[in-house]
Amino acid sequence: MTERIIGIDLGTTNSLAATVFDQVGPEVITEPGQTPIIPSVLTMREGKWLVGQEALIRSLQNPTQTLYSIKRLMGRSLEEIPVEEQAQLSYQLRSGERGQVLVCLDEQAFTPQEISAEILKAVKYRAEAILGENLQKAVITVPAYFDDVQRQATRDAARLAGLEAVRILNEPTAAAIAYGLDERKDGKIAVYDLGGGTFDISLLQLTGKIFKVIATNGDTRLGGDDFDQAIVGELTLRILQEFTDAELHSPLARQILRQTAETIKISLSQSNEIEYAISIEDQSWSHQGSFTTIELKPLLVPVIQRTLQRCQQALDQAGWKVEGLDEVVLVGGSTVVPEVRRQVQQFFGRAPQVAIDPYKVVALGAGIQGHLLAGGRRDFLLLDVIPLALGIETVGGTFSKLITANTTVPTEAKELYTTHVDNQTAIEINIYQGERELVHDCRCLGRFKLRGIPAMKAGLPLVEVTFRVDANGILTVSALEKRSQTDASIEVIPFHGLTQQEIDDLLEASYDHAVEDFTARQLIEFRQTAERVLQGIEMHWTIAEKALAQTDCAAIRQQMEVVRQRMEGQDPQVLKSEMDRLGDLTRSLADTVMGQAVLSALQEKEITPV
Amino acid sequence: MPFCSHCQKSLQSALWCGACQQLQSSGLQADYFSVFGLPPRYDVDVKSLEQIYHELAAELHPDFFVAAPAAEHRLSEGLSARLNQAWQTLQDSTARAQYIMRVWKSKTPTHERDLPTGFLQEMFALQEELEELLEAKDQQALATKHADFLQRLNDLQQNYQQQLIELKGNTPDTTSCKQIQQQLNAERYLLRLLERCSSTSSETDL
Repeated sequence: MTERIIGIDLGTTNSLAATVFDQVGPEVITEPGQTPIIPSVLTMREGKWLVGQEALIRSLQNPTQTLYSIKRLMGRSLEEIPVEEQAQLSYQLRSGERGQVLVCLDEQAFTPQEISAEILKAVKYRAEAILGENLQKAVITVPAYFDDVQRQATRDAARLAGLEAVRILNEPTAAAIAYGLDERKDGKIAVYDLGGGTFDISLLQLTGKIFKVIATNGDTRLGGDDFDQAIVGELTLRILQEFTDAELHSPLARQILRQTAETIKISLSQSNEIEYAISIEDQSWSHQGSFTTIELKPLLVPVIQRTLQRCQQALDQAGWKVEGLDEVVLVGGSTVVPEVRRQVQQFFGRAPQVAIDPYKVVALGAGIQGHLLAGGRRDFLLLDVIPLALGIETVGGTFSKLITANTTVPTEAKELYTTHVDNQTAIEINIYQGERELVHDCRCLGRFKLRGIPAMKAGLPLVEVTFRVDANGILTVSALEKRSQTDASIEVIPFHGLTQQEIDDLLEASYDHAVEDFTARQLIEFRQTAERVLQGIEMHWTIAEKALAQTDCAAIRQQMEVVRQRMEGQDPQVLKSEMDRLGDLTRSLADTVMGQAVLSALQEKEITPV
Repeated sequence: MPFCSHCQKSLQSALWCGACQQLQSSGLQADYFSVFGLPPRYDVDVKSLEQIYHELAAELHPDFFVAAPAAEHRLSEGLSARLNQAWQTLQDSTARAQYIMRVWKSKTPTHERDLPTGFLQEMFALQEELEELLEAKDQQALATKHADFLQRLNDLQQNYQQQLIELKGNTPDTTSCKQIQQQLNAERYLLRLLERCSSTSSETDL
């Protein structure tokens, strides 16, 4: 196999990576006993990014400085984000170049691509430390219903993180790969993917090694966040009823309400009732209450209903009936909510499949696809589709579709253009994506300017424009003047997203001051691990002295000293090998400590009357 | 059948040589039938067409050319696009009929906008009736209309499909070419009426 291509699930709420290990198969990339999940939450400390758990812990201390749900902003302009949704965020947004949304943090402003790049870097660095390899290529998953702009934005984020996105893969399709290869059964499957911020439904036909997507539908602004918001609405009502002057719009209040809502949602997935208490620093009131699953249901149902409407649309597009399905697969963190499972089961008339952890299945599928792209296997082939029609503006602002939704990619369409005045040497084409009749209701992807058309009488030049959609669902355009057989040059003016120049500038800036060197990062990572291990041994030293022979204790002490010395050195591999030796020496100690823990747990059990 | 540009053996598919596994750049312009190594006839066994589609996709897809030189990767993308379009067209009975008529069009003159005699007047009348029913939201009458349109569509399709099959891949004479094209044009009107019928009835459901 050539260079490893890992799979990354870049989620609204959580991100993680997976790869295919020799002899083991597909696995999420994590240290033993640790969670593979990195929360997609960021903040800054002393000018440096903090990503994941650390940022999440600090979120209540500095709510306006904590960034989350960035995926919802990818490839969007500020005006496309509804005002009420902006109001729900505890951080500030503003408009940047070409109306692109910017996120404000401290005195600075960042594009969603830059922020997503920081999440991707965190995932990449951790994977590199665990695998002990330099990683440069990845399959990155996106909601199937992401349009061209959102896909490009994701690919740009990867570039900014020093990763080549070899494939932008649809999340439900990734899940289907993980399930399909697990079971190897022909048939029709529906993948219901409800994440933190997005919803997708994909219908696939599995025939031998071919995984063919027949139809996909969804909503890129619908997800578990909406459950939280509905609960926040209810909490707000309750608090205002009790304390009419409560101030619930400050960033801190919003953050507390959001987190309480999330806790309520999660707890009610396991029990029927939960007590909660809310108080906000600087405000004199404190509110206590309880939430039951019965109270929760009417808040969830409208959101779930919207997902089921999309499911019906997808079935109609495929020309399938619910009864004809062989399997329904649940994907995404929000599908652990029992009410979601109930409604999905009712709609599809069958118990959904949840054999693979819905938090991990997308990353696993991406890891498997990465394995295939790296040349590691050819035992399956994915044929995916473009989720929304692509077309151009014609007379009167009508949207003329060149490639319809659910067309298998890669695909292409050709269109002939001519000039309207004599000696015209340039033509402008506006390209749109969407499912509506008028371009006004569709997404403008950009303006393409064809230049270098030979000077001729009006109507004589024949410019053939080719619209190509690659296997990532991303569009490229080229043009040829048929009479002279010359390539017309194309200038792309993106309406959203970053220009090539802007990406290059950002990349250059990041090379300037970031510690990008793999060895340096690995050294930092190994030093931290070594520190933890040494502390762990010290903590259990009394057990060691009792349980182990004196010579063993001495050997461990000596090796600990060697590791300490190597920590001062500059070679990560030397440090790693000394740590491995220490690990071997302390194995029996670890077993003893573990045994003790189990023993004391058992003793406690004995004391407690059953 | 054309020959492989690499090993000169005759090609099963215009896109790819099964003998020496080489992509065929001439396949980028291949007609949809020769993509599948089939003669241009209307009666196609869709099941075996799908099987060839899957086999070719598993050889041509750009996923298997990630490490290949850029030009080869691009070629695999172009050929896969051709294959996908060919499959999408030939697996659908209406799209296949339209496509085969386009292939023949280069040999016989056809009449892009020709319709059977009296058809347009009939359509206008039906359209008017339909608009009245939609206005009145008369669900029962709409359902009857819908069934009526479906029946007409079925009759029409069966008729031209039979004609196409009987040609057995021979180029039709001017008269039958005109007849088939007229029916294909008429089909579009009927499909539009049907769409109008069902889109509005589902709107009222909500």
